[in-house]
Amino acid sequence: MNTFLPYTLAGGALVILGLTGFILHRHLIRRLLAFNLTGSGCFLVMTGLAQQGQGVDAVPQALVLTGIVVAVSATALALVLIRRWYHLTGLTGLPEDIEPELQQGDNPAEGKTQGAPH
Amino acid sequence: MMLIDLLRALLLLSGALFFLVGTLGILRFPDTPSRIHALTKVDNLGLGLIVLGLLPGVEHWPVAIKMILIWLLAIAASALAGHLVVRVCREFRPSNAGEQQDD
Amino acid sequence: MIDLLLALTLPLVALGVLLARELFRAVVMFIAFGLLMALVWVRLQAPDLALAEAAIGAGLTGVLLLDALGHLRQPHPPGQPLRSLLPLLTILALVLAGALGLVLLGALLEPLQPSVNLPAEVALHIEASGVAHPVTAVLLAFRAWDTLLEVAVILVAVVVGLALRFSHDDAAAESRVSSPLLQGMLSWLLPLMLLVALYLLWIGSYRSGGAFQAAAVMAAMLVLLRLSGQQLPGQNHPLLLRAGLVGGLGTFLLLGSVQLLQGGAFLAWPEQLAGAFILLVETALTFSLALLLYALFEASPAPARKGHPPRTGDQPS
Repeated sequence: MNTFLPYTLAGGALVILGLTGFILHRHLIRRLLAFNLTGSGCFLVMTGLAQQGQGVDAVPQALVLTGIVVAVSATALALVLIRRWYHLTGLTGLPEDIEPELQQGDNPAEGKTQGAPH
Repeated sequence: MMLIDLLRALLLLSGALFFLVGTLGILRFPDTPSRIHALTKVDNLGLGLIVLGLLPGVEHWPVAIKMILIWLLAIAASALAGHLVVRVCREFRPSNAGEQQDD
Repeated sequence: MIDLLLALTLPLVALGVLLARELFRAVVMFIAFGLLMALVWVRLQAPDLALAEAAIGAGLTGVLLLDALGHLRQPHPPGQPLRSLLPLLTILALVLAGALGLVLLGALLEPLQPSVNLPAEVALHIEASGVAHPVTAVLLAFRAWDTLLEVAVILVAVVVGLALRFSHDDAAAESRVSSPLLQGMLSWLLPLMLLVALYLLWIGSYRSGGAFQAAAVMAAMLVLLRLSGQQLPGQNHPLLLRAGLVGGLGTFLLLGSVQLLQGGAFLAWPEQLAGAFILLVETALTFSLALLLYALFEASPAPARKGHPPRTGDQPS
């Protein structure tokens, strides 16, 4: 078996896990983490898949290298936006994700603290 | 030659064992200071043993120097990080520092 | 065997990140995930990526996330992290994820039939690029356009981050730790980190290393300096900072247009001087990227006043 195949498959698994987490989580930082997991999965798929056929390949490696740096800047920018959002509204999620839960009223304490700034 | 290989294998295995014990310590110890104790002491010893085991196999001496430097840096960094974490720990819980705390 | 084990651990740690009950635990798991990724890159024979991932994925991202967590002390319930809005949506998401998984599995198991053998192409033309390390050659000679635009993307991210910053002073003030041991150790560690960064930059022309890895180490050095409460030289000169931020991209553009003047293509290096040009660009990129990555950390806005979130946009500083 190829050395690179398990990592390619792991990359695919990471993409799926990250996407699912991104959809199901509401806390913005958790979503950011899930998003980063998806990104890492993409990097793994890119490198692993390219190297399976032809051996070590510098081209995807170079692309992923810049990708890692761009990913950290995207993460930092997202964190700045999340903190700004929290500073302005006191929320750690998006309103459309939180509203239905307030209507359901399954967690009144949470609803009160989170809805206060509105 | 045989003897050196045997010695290296022994060093590497015992290094890995120390890492295993250190990880067990982090997972099982109840409070932060003792976890840090496990992490800094045991893992540095394990790393030292592994570096020692790898040293006879290197081809160029700069590589050997780099490996020893990495070990020294890991010791310094873990001592510093442990010190800082425990400091913050005590700052937040001055009354019962070192006892009965979880996480 | 070791590959199987490592490849199996990766999704498990990712699950740990997603299912962790506390946010702090999730972030720590994510840092561990970054370290594992560095190991994976070594196994994939990509030491350049391992270097970058160890410094950025595990180091810088971790610091950024922990710093943000410290400022988001909010009454969010720790439990039920994966509880969704509607059970129906959860089921739908899981079904779709399963379907996507099957499709991906089929696609990934299918061997690629590329029409161009890229490694062979790189090996064929590396003589002409001016450097001996294939990854550096791809980054700064064969695909210099990509690298240029990626630096521009990072610059845009930093500019937006800086524009959203609340004020200069209290950005990371809370997280400062003072300790005599830290101060003493810093005077040893910082020169060493600088040395490592410059070493990585220099060996990038013939071995694993280069501008991005060196910049990551240097940015980590700056963040460490900042967190320990030291004043950075030139910290209070916004013009100097801005010049540093755009310096890398500017040098890249300037040197890239040299051939343009002589009727050549943009970003084509002069034949005899290709190595020197690449080294110059890499040096400028290293310092500039280090500042950019550091500015991302610095750009984090001021902490929210506890219990009194302001109603509408308050004035910066």
